[in-house]
Amino acid sequence: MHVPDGYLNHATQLGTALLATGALSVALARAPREFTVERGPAYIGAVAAAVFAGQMMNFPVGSGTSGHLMGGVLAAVLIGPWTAMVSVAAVLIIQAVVFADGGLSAIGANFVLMGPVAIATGWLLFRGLARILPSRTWALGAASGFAAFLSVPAAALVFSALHAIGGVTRVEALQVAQAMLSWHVFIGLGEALITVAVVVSMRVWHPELVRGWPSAKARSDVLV
Amino acid sequence: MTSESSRSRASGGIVGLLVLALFVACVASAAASTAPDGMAFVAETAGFASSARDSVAAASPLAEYAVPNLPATASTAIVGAVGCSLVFGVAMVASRAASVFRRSRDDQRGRK
Repeated sequence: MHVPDGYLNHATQLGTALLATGALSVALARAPREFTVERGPAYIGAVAAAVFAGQMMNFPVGSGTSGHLMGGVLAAVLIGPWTAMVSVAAVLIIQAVVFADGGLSAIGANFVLMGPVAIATGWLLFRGLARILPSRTWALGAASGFAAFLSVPAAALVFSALHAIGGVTRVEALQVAQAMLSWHVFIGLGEALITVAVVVSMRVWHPELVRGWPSAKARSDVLV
Repeated sequence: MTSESSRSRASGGIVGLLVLALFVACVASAAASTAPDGMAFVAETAGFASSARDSVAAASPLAEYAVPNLPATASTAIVGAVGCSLVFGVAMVASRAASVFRRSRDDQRGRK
């Protein structure tokens, strides 16, 4: 879901760039509170690299269309939501500058979508589920999978709104929203599968590297 | 568990994740679908795809995740390695900087 240059008008690009700058500033300020000895800069770099790699791996979602991982919820469950935003920013910057993936003038919009929007919806959903589910690994999989799944159509919906407000080409907004949602529900399934696989594997092999678990119910859960 | 031993235990996870990232980016992505992604597809059918403009970065030698004049496998391997390394570096440096800045700000305010 990388918006190229030209889709959105200058006002919308500027507006989302301002939002993105604000969100990233807050994320940089709050991220260090989520760090630990194990989950430090090197691990954060590795998570960001994994998100980048996942985004390269487009998977088909129907004849003629593909999807790719966004990775926001995956990162959030591993390193925390604010740190995840920093990682997503790193991915998007390198993609836009080095690989021309996503327009440079659209980078604010892309960060708003794959950063705060995806991570906020996914993280809130994940924490809500964590509160009511037991502290078992299957519950971690279910909560992170569901949160990751919904984060994708959420971002698709916000893109549809952005395009309705500031799209350069005037098109039927509801038609765009409907089409974006239907495809991104399927792409969300892929996001969920990848997220569950990585998060559960990490939990099994290196539980200290999963910030989002244990759940709110069992903070004193012994991880080692 | 001491800080030292927990850090060395975690480094196994860090290395594992990096190896996975490099494998996916350099090797597996060669098998990735080349069909347009959901947004591009919707843009095409809804009629706003033509508003897309090439990025200024399209002049980059690695634009569109390909190295020109190289066979696909070599091109993918290089793109994957360069991308993963750069993202790893940027994210790591940004995190370290944020952490250092926060600690100095907390020290200034007399907080632990």
